[in-house]
Amino acid sequence: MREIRKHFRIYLSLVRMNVMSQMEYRANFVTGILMELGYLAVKILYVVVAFGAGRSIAGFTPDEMLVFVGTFVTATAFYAGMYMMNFFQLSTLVKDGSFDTLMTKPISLQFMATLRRCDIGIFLVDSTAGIAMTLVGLSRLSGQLDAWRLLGYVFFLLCGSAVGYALYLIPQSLVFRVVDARAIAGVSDSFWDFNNVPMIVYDRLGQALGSYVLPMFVITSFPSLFALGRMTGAQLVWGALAPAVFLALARFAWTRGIRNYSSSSG
Amino acid sequence: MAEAGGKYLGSFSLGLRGALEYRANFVFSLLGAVAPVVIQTALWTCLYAPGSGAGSSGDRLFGFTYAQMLGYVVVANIVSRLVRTGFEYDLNDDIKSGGLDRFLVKPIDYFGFRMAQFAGAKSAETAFMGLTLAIALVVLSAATGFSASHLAALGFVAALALAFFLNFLVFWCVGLLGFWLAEIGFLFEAARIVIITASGGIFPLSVFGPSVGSALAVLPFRFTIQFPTDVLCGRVAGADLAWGLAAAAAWSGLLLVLARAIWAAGLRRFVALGS
Amino acid sequence: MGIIEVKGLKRDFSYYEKAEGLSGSLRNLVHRKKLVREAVKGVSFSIREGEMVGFLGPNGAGKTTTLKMLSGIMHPSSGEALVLGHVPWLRKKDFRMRISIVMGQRSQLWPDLPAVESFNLNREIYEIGRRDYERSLGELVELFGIKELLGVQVRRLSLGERMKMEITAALLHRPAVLFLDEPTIGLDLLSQRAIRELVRTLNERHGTTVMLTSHYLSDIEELCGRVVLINRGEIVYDGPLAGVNATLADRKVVRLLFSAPVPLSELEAYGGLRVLGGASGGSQDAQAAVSLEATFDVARSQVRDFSRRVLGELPVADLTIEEVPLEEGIARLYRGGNDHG
Repeated sequence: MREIRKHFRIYLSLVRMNVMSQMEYRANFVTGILMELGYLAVKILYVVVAFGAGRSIAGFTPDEMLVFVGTFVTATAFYAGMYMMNFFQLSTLVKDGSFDTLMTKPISLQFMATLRRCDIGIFLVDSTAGIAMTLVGLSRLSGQLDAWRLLGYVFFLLCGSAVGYALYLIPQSLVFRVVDARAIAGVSDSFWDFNNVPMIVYDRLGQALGSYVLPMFVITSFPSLFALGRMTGAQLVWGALAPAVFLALARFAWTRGIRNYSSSSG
Repeated sequence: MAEAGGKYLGSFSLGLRGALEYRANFVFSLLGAVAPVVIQTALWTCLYAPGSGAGSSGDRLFGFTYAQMLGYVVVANIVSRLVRTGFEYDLNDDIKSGGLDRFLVKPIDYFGFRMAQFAGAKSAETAFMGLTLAIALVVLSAATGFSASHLAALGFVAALALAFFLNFLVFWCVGLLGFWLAEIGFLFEAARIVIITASGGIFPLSVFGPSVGSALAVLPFRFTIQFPTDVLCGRVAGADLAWGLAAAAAWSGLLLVLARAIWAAGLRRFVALGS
Repeated sequence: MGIIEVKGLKRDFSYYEKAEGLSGSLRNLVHRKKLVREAVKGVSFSIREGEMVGFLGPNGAGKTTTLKMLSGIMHPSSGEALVLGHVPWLRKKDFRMRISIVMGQRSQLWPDLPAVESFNLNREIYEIGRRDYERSLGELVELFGIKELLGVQVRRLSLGERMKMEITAALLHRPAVLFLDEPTIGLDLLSQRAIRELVRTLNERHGTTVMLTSHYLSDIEELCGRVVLINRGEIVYDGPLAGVNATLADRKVVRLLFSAPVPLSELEAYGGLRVLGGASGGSQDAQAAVSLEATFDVARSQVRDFSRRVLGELPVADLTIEEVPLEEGIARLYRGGNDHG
């Protein structure tokens, strides 16, 4: 549809503008990468624990842990590099009136408010590290790296990122009622770390909740399970359907949130 | 003397009121502590589970039994939130905006002002967190038979007080970087993550292995999170506890000297450059 | 049928009472009191295509709220409105393509990039064809004289220059309706004039309908043939500028500071004594009825004569001439009073 092509073209312009903007603040760019490396170190620590303990985790070897965490880091590239900072900035946008101005433009408000900003430094750090970790892990497991498996991995990774976007959008739609949305973003952010360990680590109830109710595990565990050839049939189906379901839910929450904003803000 | 106390009390009250105003924020930050506890508990449960290559119930990983590790997870995460700072950004703002000038003219010591405000904000949080910790310990004892002796609790309070002071000093020094760096960007956040990790706030320092782990144990950071946690969990007692508190106090003294020195150097530069 | 039709538009806001001091903060932890403010109390008006209408009123009168409702940002509590045949708060794409809003001291431009980058983004957002874009941009750049500034980062521009860029960005797509909310607030006189010039030119050339809000009469004086006075959420006057100008601008406030105390009787002799002892009522010796300050209400036409007289006859240390506060002028209008001195 024309609208989709328009938004895609505008997204490319936005990426370009973001990169140019970021280059203006070299200190921020460099320290931002340092910060992301810090977060990366914490994620890798979980792998260090796995290797240091020298035992399997619910049937998953340390090498498989490496694939999991690598996938997690790659998914973080989308999360932190593409959409998370927009959620953190949402209340600033509302407070300084830019949100109002965006509302009057003939472009999807949800698109602009949630995807306007991106961070190329974070994206590159995480995607590089994540892909490297995943490939090392997979190759150590006697490399099952055929093209189909890789394609499917990428597919489920993208589906997972779409679900991640939707999951983070839903609580942010509350920003129109609650004054400081950074707090919500902070809590949501901590939920992201549930993917630092393979979902198998949680008990059956936790896994069910995290797969079907609040599908965090769809984001990272599903792609990893696929690459490792350990995905069940149900998970395969749900992994492909979940993005559609949750994007629709997020859209609903967002439009309701806008409605509340226009009706009750001061 | 009362007058001198008065202005610091004012800063204390300011910090307290500020903390109360942002109560929603505070509750949310507390909720943010839930995730790591859940994640790590699940992880360790799997690692200590029989049939994963483990041994008996006395099984030890990185020097902890299962029960001990769970205790560490809960207490360390709470302590980590307790000793957390944030004033380094305000400190940097004062340096950058030249707002420091205000304080240099007033008869109030900037360091004292910041510390009093920190203490004020922390009192509000600690009261609340203390309750959370108590509840968490009750749950822990029901689940794993955790218990803390009275001496351990007392030692914990002492270690925690030192941890507050020490963490304040560490991040005070971090904040002082603002005197030399034109833009700090995300440096403070990067420093915070590294420091928390080095303090044992994510995992106990022993997971780093014998060489790195013992290197980290020499640094002052472990006294902000790992040490108070170990004290409460009863892993450090008797003479070790006394030595530990002394070491924490010694580090505090050293960092205080360092802080004053950096402050003086920074102030010279600040005044010379006319901010 | 006007291009903007408004009927009985109402808007209420609810908010929480903020307590003072430490005990207040503690109390607030448990319970906060909810209050309601009626920002807009049922306004109705109609604007024809190509008209330039000024909404004048003191702060908090409801001007910005009305503008937000008409641009689709806010839902009314009740009432109806149609802009370009659309209900604004439904935010249909066709509606958004044809309107534009500029709010003073707010920016839609990316601060770290040259303005032209933000213009390009707008070009894509508003689906402006290349040729139309060049033409439109060229016209605006020429009218504002900002050609050399296009490549400069927005954050390096002065406030006046930034505002010109903002308005340029907002007008690239040649909107049929332009909403301006306090566009000249905080700007220097030259920039204010440039902006008013441009808006007038566009209105003449392209028939852009303009709805402008301000609490400065001068904004409206220069641009709008029609003025709508809003006070406390209600329309107090809707008609030609001339009708209002006479009443609002016919008097001035003259404040005097004396180097030696002046007896009250002497001051009263001039007539029009508003306040003894300046605006704050200070430095007054009630016993001896003398004062070091005095504030006078003077008809505009008499200001020069009055000033000459007091400067000659009284020990004046400082003399200031100010506008009558807008609220007062409006109150007088409301009362229907027309006291020409």
